Amino acid sequence: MEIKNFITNKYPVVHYFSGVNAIEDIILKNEYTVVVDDNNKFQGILTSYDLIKKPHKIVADCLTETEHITNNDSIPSIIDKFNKSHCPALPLFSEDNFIGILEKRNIIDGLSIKINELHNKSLISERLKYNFLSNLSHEVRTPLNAILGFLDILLKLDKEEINIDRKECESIIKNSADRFLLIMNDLVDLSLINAGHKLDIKIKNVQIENIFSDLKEYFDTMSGVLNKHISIKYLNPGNPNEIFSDGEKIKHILYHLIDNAIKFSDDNSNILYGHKIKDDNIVFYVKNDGLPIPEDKRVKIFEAFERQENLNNELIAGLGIGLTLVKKLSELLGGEVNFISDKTQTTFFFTIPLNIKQPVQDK
Amino acid sequence: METATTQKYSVQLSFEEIRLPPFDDILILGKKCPHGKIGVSKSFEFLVPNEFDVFEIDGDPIVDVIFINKRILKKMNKDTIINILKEKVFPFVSECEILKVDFKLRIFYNSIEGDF
Repeated sequence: MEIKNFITNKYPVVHYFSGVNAIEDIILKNEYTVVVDDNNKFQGILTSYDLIKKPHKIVADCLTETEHITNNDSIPSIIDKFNKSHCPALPLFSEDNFIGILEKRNIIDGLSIKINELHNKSLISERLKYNFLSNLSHEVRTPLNAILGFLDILLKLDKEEINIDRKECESIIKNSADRFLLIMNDLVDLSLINAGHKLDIKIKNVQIENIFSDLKEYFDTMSGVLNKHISIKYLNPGNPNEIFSDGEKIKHILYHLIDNAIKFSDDNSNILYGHKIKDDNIVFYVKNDGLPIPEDKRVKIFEAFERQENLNNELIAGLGIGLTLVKKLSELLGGEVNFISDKTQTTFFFTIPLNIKQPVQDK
Repeated sequence: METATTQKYSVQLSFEEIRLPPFDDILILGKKCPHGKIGVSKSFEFLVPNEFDVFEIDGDPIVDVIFINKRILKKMNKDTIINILKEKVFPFVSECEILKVDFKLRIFYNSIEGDF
């Protein structure tokens, strides 16, 4: 809560040498009045407490000493000053200059709103924590089950005659292990970013074609374990095929965007990814067919642990950290991420400056 | 039968000269008297500029400030005057009251001796 949000410049004003009998109504109506001199300079705050303590005829004689608030005061110290001063309003000073008035009722109202917000946030955090832990166990168990299951099959291959392709098994085990590692890395990266640490970025010449084909190969292998048929394609990169950036981070971002697109794609639909040049940026995009992103979810879509529901109001699988990482990593590479979503298609895209010569500072 | 009424009036009239402010020497203000230090000081500034000095009385439960004519302060220091007032006058001051004090100071020497 910042003090400046509570400063008011609309307050009752009386003159230093006004007669008290002429300003009693103002005090009764507003509980206080600001006292100024001939040059409109602040002289003090007059309250009914002052009028009882010093019942004189002119305002100047009735003023008692009141506390002053400064920009350095914390909310607890402001409350303390209000309680000590018996005053419903106190002046705010910055280096001996009068800035405005803080009214006690506004501070109390602000605190009340803040307490409600924090209470609601704590309830949401509790729910998110519960959901996160249950999702984490699910997300970790899925690749582990695949690894253990297909390892069992491989062990039995030597003993029994099972009609299954060994290479396919090995490939699924490898991809599941990669996915497991990725989940762990994502969690570590996000906790590092949230703790204010910088992630290492390694800027070098990157072949875009290699990134696209690696991703294609990975998702083609994983399509065997999906319960829907989705065609994943990329547009052959034209110029430039080579950029100066962190290829692993770009691949990581695209991985999350494609993985996300798969989750929200209808059966028998297409996912297309690629890149193009716009101004001084290279724009990578991932486009999928499927439901539009609901309006109320768009604002929070890049916040951690926010997950969407499908047609049946079931939460889509995942930890809810993919898009958060995508945003952080895009910013780390000096770019930004955004999306366009209409009735049948959603396109996520992120930009990277083309003219990077030095590593971009962590934001 | 109608009764005729007439209206009459009676005025008691007298007049005398006054001077402002209506005292010469010392003024004592109670803590809750209608006129406070600033109001009285301001009126003195207009009526008799530069004639009175004002002193706040710390620690007294009844008296707020006193105004002393500079003419007296020329002859006796303020602490002596205030101590006299504290002993002889303050016990009779009430909180809501303004009191004027006549403070006629006469200085005399027992004998003045010297060589011819």
